[in-house]
Amino acid sequence: MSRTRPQRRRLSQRIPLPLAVLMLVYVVLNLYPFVWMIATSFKTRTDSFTNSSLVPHPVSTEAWPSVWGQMDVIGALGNSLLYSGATVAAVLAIYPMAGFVFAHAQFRGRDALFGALVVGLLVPNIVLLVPIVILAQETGTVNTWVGLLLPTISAAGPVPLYLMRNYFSLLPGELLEAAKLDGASFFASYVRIFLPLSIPALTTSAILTLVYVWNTYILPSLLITDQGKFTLPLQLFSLNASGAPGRNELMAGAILIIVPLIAAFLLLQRYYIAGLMSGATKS
Amino acid sequence: MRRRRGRTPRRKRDWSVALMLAPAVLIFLGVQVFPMLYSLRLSFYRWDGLSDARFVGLGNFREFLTEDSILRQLFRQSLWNNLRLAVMVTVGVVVIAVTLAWAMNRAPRRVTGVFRTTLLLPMVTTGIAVFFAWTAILGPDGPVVQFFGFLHLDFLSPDTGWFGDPSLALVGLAAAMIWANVPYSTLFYLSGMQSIDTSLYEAAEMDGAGRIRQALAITWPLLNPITSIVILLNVVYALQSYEMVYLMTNGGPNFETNTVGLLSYNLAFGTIGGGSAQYGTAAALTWTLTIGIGLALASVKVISVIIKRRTAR
Repeated sequence: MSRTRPQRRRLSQRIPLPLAVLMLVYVVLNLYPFVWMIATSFKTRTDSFTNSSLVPHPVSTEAWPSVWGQMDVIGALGNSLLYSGATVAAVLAIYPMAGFVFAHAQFRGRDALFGALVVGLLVPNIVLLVPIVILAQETGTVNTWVGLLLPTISAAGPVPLYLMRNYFSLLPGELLEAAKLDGASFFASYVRIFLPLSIPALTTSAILTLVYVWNTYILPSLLITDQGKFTLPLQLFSLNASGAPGRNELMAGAILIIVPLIAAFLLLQRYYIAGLMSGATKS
Repeated sequence: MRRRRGRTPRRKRDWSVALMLAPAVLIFLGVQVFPMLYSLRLSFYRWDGLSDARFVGLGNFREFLTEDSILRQLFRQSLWNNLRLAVMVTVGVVVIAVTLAWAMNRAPRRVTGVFRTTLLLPMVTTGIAVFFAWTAILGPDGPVVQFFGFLHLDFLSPDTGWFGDPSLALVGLAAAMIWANVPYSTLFYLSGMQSIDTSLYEAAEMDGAGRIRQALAITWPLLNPITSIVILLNVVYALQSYEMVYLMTNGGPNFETNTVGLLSYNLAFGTIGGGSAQYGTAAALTWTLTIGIGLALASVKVISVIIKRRTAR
């Protein structure tokens, strides 16, 4: 025992040189688009089309006020926050609860129902796009938050449901039995005992949902036509489609979308990875 | 004894169970099952959204499956693109993710922390913003084109940019997809590797197996379940992709990067079909795609069972 331990540590400290180089190349390639976006946003319009290097020549901030003027950033940011905030809240209210039931309640058809709710993940979401747009038009819910939120929640829900079910089924059922002896109802033991124990998985579900909703373009682009309700992706798309923007402006607009996400992610990444792995590897 | 005591609470519990499932199930029925049935019905009609819908039976399916039509050519080309994307993306992701996970698993803690953070960036940023960045990076006079021009690799530096070049456009799209999908798969592989019992390696080392031998004889076979999940996820991803394609190339140049999902999108909401919506045909296409993916998954399952039997023997 005492002989293998130091040996193992030494083993793990030594990465073969080719692998180290490979990791470095990957890190560079992975960061490159982001660095390039930032660099490009500080170029002049003409420079952004001809100079593809990472060095702006000359350095210029002209893109930023220009994009700020064209994109209605504050309005779009508010809409994006509302859209993703409401979706995350709804998903966290609905799907962990269902996941808990699938993990700890016994009833006939439980696994079949769970399978049905999750198999939607494998159905291409393009199948739903045409009917959802038509149904929104027929029910007059185009340009309403309800009309947009319902299909978004439905599309974002299965992954958190799957993660949370797996996470809850790792927690011992004895907790539930003990709570029952103390007179707690099924729902109360979910809220008071199981929910507080599942913060990592809840964080992961929240981030996965947030990332999905924040970046999603096609669904809101078809259900929202009122410019005042445009989210950041919709504003960026119309900037690109209508204004013949310079690459500097386009990248400045793109940065505005991803900065809030990166910030949220850096704050929460520790929980995120823990929850993702604990939920994902258990089949 | 136990049962009796549990009986009264269980009655109560049935109601709370139903209530706790209700929101998820109602949304599932209302926003997923119902629209799917609606779409299935739609696929037997021809409808432009304005005039009356006309029942055509399997006419929509025939138009792109058997009839000699432009749509059939587009469908075949799109499907072929989907399949090529699936192969490129899956192979690329598996190779890169396994290698990265292997390196991460051996690297010291300090290194993996930094590495992990950069690894996860694509996971949170993949969307319209990064798609536009990729389009510019691979575009005319973009860094990729200039880099390969500098190396005098002219076939990799077309003046039109990668997405204007018929032979490179799909490769560029696959590269962006690989970039987006590597992180998840790497994490899957890493967690798989960390769950392998280290005594296996110690035993192998005593038997004189080298690093590479260990990787091939122990690590890789034990990762089979992870590999099949990664393959499944990437194949499904590539087969159903359309949002990313729409934002990066919209199928161009000359439909070289069109996918079946995008074809359906453009039939319903875009410019294919002379500007009038073809909801029925679009719905029929999506159902064909769904059935195709179902069959693909089933065959992957069958293949993996066969492989398992072979290796067990």
